[in-house]
Amino acid sequence: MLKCVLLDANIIIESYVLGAWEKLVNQTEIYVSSVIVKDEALFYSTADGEIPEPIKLERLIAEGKIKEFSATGQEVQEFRDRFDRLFVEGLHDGEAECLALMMHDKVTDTYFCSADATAIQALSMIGHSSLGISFERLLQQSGLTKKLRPHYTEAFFRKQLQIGSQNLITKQGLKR
Amino acid sequence: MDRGKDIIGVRIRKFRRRLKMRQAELAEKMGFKASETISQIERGEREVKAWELTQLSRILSVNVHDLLSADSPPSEPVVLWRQSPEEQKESKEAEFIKRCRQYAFLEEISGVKGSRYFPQKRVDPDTINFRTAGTLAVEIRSEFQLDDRPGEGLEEKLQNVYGVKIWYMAMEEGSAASSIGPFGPAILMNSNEAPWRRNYNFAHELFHLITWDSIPPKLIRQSAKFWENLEKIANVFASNLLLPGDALNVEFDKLLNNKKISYTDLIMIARYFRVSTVALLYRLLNLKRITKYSLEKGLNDPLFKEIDRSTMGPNWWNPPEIPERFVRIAFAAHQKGRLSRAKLSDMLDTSLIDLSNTLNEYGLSDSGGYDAEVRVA
Repeated sequence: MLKCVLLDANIIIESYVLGAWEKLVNQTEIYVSSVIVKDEALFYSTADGEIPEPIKLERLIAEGKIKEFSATGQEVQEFRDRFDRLFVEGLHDGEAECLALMMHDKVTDTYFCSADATAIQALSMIGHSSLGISFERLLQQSGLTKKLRPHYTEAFFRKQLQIGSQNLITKQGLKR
Repeated sequence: MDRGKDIIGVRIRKFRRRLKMRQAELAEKMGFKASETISQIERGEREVKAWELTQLSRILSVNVHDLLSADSPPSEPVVLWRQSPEEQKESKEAEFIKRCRQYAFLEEISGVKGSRYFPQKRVDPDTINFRTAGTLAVEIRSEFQLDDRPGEGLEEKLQNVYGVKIWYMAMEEGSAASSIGPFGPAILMNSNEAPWRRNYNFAHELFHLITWDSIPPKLIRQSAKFWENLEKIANVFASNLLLPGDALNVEFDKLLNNKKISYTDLIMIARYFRVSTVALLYRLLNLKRITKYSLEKGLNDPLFKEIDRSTMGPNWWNPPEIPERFVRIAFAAHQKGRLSRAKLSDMLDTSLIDLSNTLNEYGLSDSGGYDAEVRVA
């Protein structure tokens, strides 16, 4: 079983939508970056008129069910400085913080889970391919099986890691 | 002092001052108990967390990159207002410029750009007059391939063909503004204005944009009298552009009855050309189709205003909060894997949960499969 997983906001939403969130929280040690925790606008549901109760991250942190990690502005800057501006600007600040945390080893023995092409490629481009996990694999390792959209599959994740590795060689997306 | 913290602090101070915001106000918006915290950050004496940077960037209407970059900050593009709002002008300008930069960024990463080069017309600021404005209007109508009802497709042409970044903002006061920056030409429009007023504003701002190099804002602002006169010239351009003499004469003659024309018919002509009745009456006077007496009668007659108002409803169109072209380009960038889903939500002012519904409102679906390709011949 996986020990710790740093989750991208998109994964939190998708697992909630698929009805897998609460099980994930119970079975895995989940880490969330502060930008994602504090960006409540990401989780607001017009239909509910508020953030759905199960994904109120501040509450889950207060209850000790998930953990919050923060990067400093300096660490984010060092992460961003590695990349070409057009590449890194395609990331949400929350994703940039997650990746800065990974790059600076502020979360040890932890896997990063995302379904966004740029974020997965960036993980590979900072030399942390081995610390990435697809949503599909995360669910499998937690004993869950769900029908997933293409971006959440293992195949998509692998493909993006591969593109990231190629980028690292060709310097595509990196600051020259 | 840490160089990184120092840069961040200097940048925060610069952008705060641009908005004419006090440290106490920024501290309050950030949820800090004391304004001293902002003071410490600006002096480079306090570390800034990533989440604080994100919040600061939103409050200051900039990107996190603008707060972190060691490169010298780009000069701020000038925003030229037709009728400037008295309240929060600076924050509206900052938000407009931020959106224009996002627009240009999206164009770059998605590979979508306006298909034609936006023209610059050489005019002499010392001799420009109403006649020049009329000539320019004819030239632009032909160059932009606008038909006999230019108001019908002007906005679409500006946006989709010439890549003019059009942004709407609901404002209690202020009508429209224009700017040219590294992002290209851009127009800020008050979405509270009636559709026909907006058309007129687009045409008015177009005049400033095509003469931006010849009559730059710096020159315009040198003399209030020159500015006032130039605004009248821009209005003549707008009027000539949206109400082509020949086409207007044809429509006017069709509805003449015994050398008279009814209020209802005048309003119908205005709606046909998508201009206000006031703009129509002035243009008809200018074309010598009505007398000054008729103009004043129309402008001051409550009955005319009442009929005018009663026909407005069906023609009223409210623009979406985020321009359709912006949404399409952002979506294309996302589908090409160059913009994350969370960043897309952020740019479209929606949540990740609501994103699919927001895209559906614009006729887009994020169900996947967009990376499929076809081979071209």
